[in-house]
Amino acid sequence: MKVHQREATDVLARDGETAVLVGEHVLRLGALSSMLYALCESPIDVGALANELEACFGAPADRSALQATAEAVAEMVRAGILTEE
Amino acid sequence: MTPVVRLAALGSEVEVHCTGESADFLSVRMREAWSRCVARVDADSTHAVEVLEARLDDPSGLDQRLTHTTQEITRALIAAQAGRLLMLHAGAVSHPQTGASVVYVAPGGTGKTTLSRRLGRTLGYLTDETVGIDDAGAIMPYPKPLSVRRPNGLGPKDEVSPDSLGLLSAPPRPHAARVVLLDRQPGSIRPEVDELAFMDALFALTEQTSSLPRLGGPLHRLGNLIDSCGPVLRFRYAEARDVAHQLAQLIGGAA
Repeated sequence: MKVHQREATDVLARDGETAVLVGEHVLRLGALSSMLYALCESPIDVGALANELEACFGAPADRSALQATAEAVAEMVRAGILTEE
Repeated sequence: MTPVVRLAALGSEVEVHCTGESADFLSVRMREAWSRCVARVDADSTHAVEVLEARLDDPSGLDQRLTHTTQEITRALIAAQAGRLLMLHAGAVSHPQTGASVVYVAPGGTGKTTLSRRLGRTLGYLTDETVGIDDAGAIMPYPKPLSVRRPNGLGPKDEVSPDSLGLLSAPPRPHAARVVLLDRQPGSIRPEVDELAFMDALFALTEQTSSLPRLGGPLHRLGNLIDSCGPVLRFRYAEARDVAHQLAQLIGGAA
């Protein structure tokens, strides 16, 4: 499954964090989520995302990188800033 | 003929058409309360102006009418400037000579008016309600009447002109120089001031904006304000007298 950014009203990245304005809501993304979001500028496979994030932040302690990435992606899709292809 | 009170504020204009059996009385009191904003009614003007009706039949309902009309005027002006000005729920005062202004951001009912009354004795009163900032950092004054609680604490608040309260007028070209967040906590013992990191400031300010998504590049507009006026400070305090001097000092003034 590939995902990519949905069109946002505005996006501002600073100090490793990102603010994304979608509709009336502003979402605050931490460092890992910011990188995930940035990697989704073009359509990208969730597996490839997981590899990129693991290379940068290391493997999560409690589950696989793929599972953690899929959960993060699902949350961002629910929040309306990513969409699945 | 319907008495009309035309007001210029927040970089826009609104006309209040006074109606009802006490329309003349209402228009006189409107002009007093809105003394800093009254504009000439120009029959030839092609300028787009929001029109409101304010009806008063029983003179004893004046105070409630004025309070309600103030809220309507604020909403109309904000609607007129949506997509143009960065608008914050905030009060602001300005250094009389330099125009440097401190913008104090806070939700309604948390001390903006009290601070404005105190700071406005020595600094130019810009507003106690809504600060509108253009993309160059200039503030569009909104020197509305201040809602003042009666000495006995009963009844509606009075809408009192800044002139009646002796507040200084805004200088010609006020601009945002510092932005602070007010965190009033009645009963706390001593005031505290801390600097907010950029993103903390951005999100705190976002919650106190009007029509933010209507602006072009809204987050960048807010970010530019923080960068040009930063760092954003948070004042935790109990009474206006505890922080008035520090706020004034931020723009080189005294309180």
